[in-house]
Amino acid sequence: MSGIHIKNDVIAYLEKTLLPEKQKKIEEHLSSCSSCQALVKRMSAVYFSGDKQEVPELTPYFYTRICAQLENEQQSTWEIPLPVLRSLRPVAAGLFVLTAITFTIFLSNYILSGNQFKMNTKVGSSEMSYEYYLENSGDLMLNTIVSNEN
Amino acid sequence: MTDADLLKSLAGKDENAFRFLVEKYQAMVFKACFHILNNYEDAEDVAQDTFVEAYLSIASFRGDAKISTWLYRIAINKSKNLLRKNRWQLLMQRFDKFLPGEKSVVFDAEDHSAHDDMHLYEKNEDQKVLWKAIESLPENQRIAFTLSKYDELSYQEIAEAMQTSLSAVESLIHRAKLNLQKKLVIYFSEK
Repeated sequence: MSGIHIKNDVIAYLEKTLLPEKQKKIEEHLSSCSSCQALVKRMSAVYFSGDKQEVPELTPYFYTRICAQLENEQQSTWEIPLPVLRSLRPVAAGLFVLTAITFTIFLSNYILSGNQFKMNTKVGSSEMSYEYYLENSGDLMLNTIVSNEN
Repeated sequence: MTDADLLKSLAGKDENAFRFLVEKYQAMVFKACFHILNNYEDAEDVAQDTFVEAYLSIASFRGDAKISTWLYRIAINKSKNLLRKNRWQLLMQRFDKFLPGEKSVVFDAEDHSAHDDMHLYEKNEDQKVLWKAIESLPENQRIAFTLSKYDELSYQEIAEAMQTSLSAVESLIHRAKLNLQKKLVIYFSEK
């Protein structure tokens, strides 16, 4: 067995979860390979070091802190029960979609009517000036003749 | 007091029952959070949030699982949220380094290297190497592995707590061990 194979089975070997034949083969290899021996020794030290680590103790005020947090949460949260809020979700989603559609229609109308307004203004002003010229051209000419005669 | 009695009292918002629940399960919840998050302060905060949520959502608990399993479920979800938040902060911190100009105060204050030193303060060199490798595992592999190895939960209990199948848990733990082995072998061959 080569060192590469051992590297693939170190943890299983350390936990003794390999098949007995494979476990024995690794042991045989380790007895003759110092580099693999060193690797297994280091791996063992690191892998099992977590077992020795103690979990620190909780603060003695843990329950008091929970009560304080609960008090804060209950003061800050609404009185609407959760199932009611959940049932309102589709309504809220529908309202959102409806608002979005209305806004889009309003926006597109606004843009289109704005452009039309500009077009009307241009056409309107040119039409008005042309009509004004047609309607008042006779009077203008008459006024010019009268003033010239005077 | 049995689980059924305790649930009944909790549903009636009995303060003594809640105190009993906290005192009975606080060590278990904190231990699981500590192993998943590998940080004392974070574990304490998540354990606290777990009991607060348990109290607030007792009405939605159908009693189809053991109380311990239900508490593990809440703790796991809260730990996952915190891990994601920390990962996002770390990502933003890294991204911030590439940006020209003045650095953001928020990300500088949350210096990850200082954070690492702080939460590894009680560990020896071997434990530091091990926890660095565990921290680099994918989220679900990390949770399944720590619950199995350090909280001594059975695969069935882990499956119920993680709301997944037994075969998925077996696969997660197997892959976690292979990943750890790979990382540690690379670490030792580089040294």
